[in-house]
Amino acid sequence: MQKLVEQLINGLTVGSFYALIALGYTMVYGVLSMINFAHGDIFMVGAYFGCFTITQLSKTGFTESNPVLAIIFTFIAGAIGAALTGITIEKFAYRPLRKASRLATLISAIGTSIFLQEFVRLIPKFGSLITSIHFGEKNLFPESWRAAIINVTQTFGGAMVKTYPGILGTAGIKLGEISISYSRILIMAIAIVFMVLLYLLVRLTKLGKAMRAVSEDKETAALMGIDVNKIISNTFFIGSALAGIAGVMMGIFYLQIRPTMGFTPGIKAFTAAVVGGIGNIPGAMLGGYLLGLAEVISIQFLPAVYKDIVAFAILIVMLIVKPTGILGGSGGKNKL
Amino acid sequence: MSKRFVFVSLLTIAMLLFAACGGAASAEEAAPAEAADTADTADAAVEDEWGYITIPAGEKVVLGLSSALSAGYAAYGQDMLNGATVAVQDFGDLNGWEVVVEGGDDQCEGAPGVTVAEQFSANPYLIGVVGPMCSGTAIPAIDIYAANHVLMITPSSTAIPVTASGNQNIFRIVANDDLQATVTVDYLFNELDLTTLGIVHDQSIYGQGIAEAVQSKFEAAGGTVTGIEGITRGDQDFSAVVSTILEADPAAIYWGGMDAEGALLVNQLRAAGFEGVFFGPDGIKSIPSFVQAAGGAAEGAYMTFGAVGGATGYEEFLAKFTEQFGDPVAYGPGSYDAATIVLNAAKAVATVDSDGNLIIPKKALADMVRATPYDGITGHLEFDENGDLKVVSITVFQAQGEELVPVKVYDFGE
Repeated sequence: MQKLVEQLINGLTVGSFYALIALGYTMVYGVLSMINFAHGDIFMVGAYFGCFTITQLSKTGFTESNPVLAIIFTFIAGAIGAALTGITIEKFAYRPLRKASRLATLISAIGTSIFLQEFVRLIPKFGSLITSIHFGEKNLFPESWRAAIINVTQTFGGAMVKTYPGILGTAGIKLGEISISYSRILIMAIAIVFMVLLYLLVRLTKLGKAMRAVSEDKETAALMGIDVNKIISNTFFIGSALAGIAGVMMGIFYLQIRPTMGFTPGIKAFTAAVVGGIGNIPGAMLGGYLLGLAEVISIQFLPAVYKDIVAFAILIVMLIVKPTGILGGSGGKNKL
Repeated sequence: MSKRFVFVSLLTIAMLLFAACGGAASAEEAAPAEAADTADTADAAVEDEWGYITIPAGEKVVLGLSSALSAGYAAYGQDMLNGATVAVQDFGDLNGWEVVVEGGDDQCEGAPGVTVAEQFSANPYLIGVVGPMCSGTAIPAIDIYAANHVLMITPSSTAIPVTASGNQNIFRIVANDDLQATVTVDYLFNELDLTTLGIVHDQSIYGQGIAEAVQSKFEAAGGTVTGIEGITRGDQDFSAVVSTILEADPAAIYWGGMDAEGALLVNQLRAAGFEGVFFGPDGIKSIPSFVQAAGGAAEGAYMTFGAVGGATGYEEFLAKFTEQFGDPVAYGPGSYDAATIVLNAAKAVATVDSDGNLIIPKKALADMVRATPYDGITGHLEFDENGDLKVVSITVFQAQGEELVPVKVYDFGE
């Protein structure tokens, strides 16, 4: 029994990641009816922005003196970095193709995903490349800049695994026989807070109303004076920021990040979004937690290697039995 | 059609062309390699049944290095590349020909490793390969190297099947996993007095192989294996496996796998309240990518490692290495030895023909490696018929603070 409770907590932690990432898939699908396959990589970019920030803060000793502030700054950096990446992608990779066939956008999304992974992997090379640009005898950048550029690019990305400093440690609380680490509690709390905030934003604010309108019918929304491009941009901003937050959580919790880290969580979160009902925000949250729980329960009763089989079997069964997902996603018709 | 769309399309086409060119280039290189095999061999005293490597004057002699140079296990792979680089610096030129190290990124996986093996085999100026780094890469790659008679010396692929193929061009300069498992079980049983063990592995040829070897030896010694579970390489969350494996409350956990997942696993084990012994193979012998990446959770963890530097000339090597690349991680010294063996053998069999080409007979090269014992920085290296070492030693290390401290040395053979 005690082990089962522990497993449920494990499942809720993993589910928090899936749910936060799934929100981005579902929001973009809601307004654009497209699957943003680069979303997992936006999550990765967020983790890298966070890693860069906390590494710099740790170097100056700020993390030691103000651990709470340092973590908050890291989350902000990860969220903003990911959000800016998200709106840039929308502007350059998706907006030009909005009138093209859905397949074109999908291919563009896959291309963007590869681009982001390779970009983060090769950043140190770009750093040394741009600092070696010469005009005759004169270098493009002054000497002091060059060292800084190389330093920044090397701390930011690269082929090697980057490591978050272990700020939270492995300490935790014990409830009877069950031990829960503080990092787990933090992750679940952050995930729930942001999901509630997002739900309130979509339901109660003017921006949320506009997003729902765009998702319902772009042309009519435009006739009502809504700037559709701006709303789509905002949707990407919010969805990507949530992915960035999940990325930083991943780094703080698991410590290691790498350019390919977005792939598996991306696919799992996509599964979660479909299971919950793609285009439906509470559905994405529900799907995320369900998938996380399904995985740990399968590990409890089956050999661990069947975990992914169970997760994707759920996806297939769901697609056969109820293609619109548990909470009945928008399916053909858009609805946030 | 907007301009942007045209631009994006052109970019895609350019990328595809770029990829295609990569393939084409290696195909073109294959031709001279075959030509080299049938080259004018009049200058060579004895006909070499595997053919010859012919390197014209002005070209560079290439030493291949196959390891993971990106993603999760790159700390090891880069270390190996650094070791081989120092070896070439120490060796200097080969009868007047400049030697360069060419790194191939096999990502510690089968398919990319085979691609690297094909590219290396097609390179007419390649004299030998150091690596592959991982057993799971080495086993499929060996078929390619054997078919092309490319000399291959791995300093790190420890799985038993690596040298079991009977190929005369395949060598290994580290103790295999059977011996690592023996040492592990002896240490757990006789030094730490532990009789219950939970095992987690990464389902790879290497990880699962050594995990199962530890399991059978531990049970044979009278211990109880409380559970054995597999995880997937590249995953981040093992907490559910951790809960399952800790259910039986084992005194120790053995991890069969690499550093990246090992660091995550030990961290999640400690977070779940596990206070017993964490033990792993050579795949976690790394300060940056295991001890530091585990964020303090690796404290007290044990690991076995077979290619410890410290023998003849190690101090000079260490000085040169640290000056350029910082501290060696794990197989840097082993790669140095492997590279030096290839280069020494090449120097011993190389001749210059009347046209001024450097000629290296392939079979003679492999035979020279087999016949010549070498006192390297990782110890006395002498090969048996299978290409394995006659004499090996394995050291048990423990993570103490930010260091890996040797706690016991086991010697095998002669």
